[in-house]
Amino acid sequence: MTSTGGGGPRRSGRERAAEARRQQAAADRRRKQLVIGGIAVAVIALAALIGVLVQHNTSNNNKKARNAYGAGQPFAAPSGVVPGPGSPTDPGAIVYGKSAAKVTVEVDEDVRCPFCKEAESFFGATNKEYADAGKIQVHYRLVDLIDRNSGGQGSLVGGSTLACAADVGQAEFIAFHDLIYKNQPDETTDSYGSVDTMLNLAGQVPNLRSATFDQCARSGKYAQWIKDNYTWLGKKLGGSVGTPDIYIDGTSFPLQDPNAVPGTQQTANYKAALDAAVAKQG
Amino acid sequence: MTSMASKAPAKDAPTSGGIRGFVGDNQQWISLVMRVLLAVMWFNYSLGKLTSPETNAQSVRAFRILPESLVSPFGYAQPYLELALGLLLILGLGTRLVAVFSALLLLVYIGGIISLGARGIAISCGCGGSGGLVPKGHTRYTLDVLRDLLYILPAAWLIWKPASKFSLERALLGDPI
Repeated sequence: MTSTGGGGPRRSGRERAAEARRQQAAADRRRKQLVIGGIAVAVIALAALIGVLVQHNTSNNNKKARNAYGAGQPFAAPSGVVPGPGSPTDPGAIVYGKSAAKVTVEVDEDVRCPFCKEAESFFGATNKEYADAGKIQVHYRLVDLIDRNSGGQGSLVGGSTLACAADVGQAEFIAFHDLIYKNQPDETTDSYGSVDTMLNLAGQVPNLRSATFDQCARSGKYAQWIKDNYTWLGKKLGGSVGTPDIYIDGTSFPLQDPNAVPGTQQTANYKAALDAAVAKQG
Repeated sequence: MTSMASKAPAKDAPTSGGIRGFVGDNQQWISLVMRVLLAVMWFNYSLGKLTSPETNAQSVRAFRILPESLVSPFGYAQPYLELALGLLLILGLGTRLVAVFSALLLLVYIGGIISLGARGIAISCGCGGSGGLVPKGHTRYTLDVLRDLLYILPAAWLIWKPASKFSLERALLGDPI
């Protein structure tokens, strides 16, 4: 009697046990899934954290290096800047050309910037030719855009050393200017951040190096001039500074992609724009 | 008739069931391929930037979307994030979650590129490098958007079918995921 009645409860007991095992297994799976999901989220969060920490560290080191060069030097502008004598609010631009020339070409550039090198290769010779002929005067404003964005101090040290050349003379300045762009390192290589590298390069320009020049470069005499020029340009453009910026009598002449417009064509366009400006000024 | 056949058990599906039968049979292998595809994409995206994070930050800045204070942190974190996604995909850990995250990140990229095109931004300097930004007149926005859209496909597949061969989570959890 008991045996027939006991068959049901025993069977349902097994079922209950199986059901409990299934529930236990399902709970285990959910727990494991949660742990796995948690690990994945933790790995992603950790990666982001590492990136942010690396950035924080790098930017602190960059700031230190940038502030070290020219530290303690008061604002000073190179010889003959326009508008003279230069001030922190308008530091002024280095002039190449004769003061009688009526057309003004402004070149805002960074000695570390690869597109500035490209612009120099397309327009540099023309600028010199027209300035030497007394048709235009070129105003060079040097900024430290790449340093600020990519770290390093090549824009600042390279640019300051170039600015020291303006104290020596226009011929020396423009020769050094050419040389700096011809030897420009890859954007990510900061070799212009070394004063020694810059002085060695300056040694290739006749009559440029002297005790005064070397002292000017080593002390970072014009570092503040460059930083202030960046601020000036930022204010003028409303925040987003890009180099190179070329203006012919205030009208922008944009550098174009050489794949779209060949360099020789851009040089021709540039000459035409200069000729038009010269004709306009009479 | 074909739809009936395709719902038939896997064994006789390959001959009569076409694609659906094939997919049913080989789903975990296909998911493995998708995992590797997506992982390789992330590694490819990451490694180019990891070596020059400053250049990447500059590229991020050039998009002119993030405020300046977030440009550098994002520019530096981005390659590490992409590397982490690639690693998790190769390991097969939290595949569905990582696939969702991948798709979201790709959508952010696509949105960024489209907004560049819409705003007519072309950058003139300091922007060569890893972000793929180029001087005026040399933009390839359409191609870039298509490329990222293409990469969303494996992510979408993995959101749908995360279980795959040689995955750590399957080893830990067993079938089905």
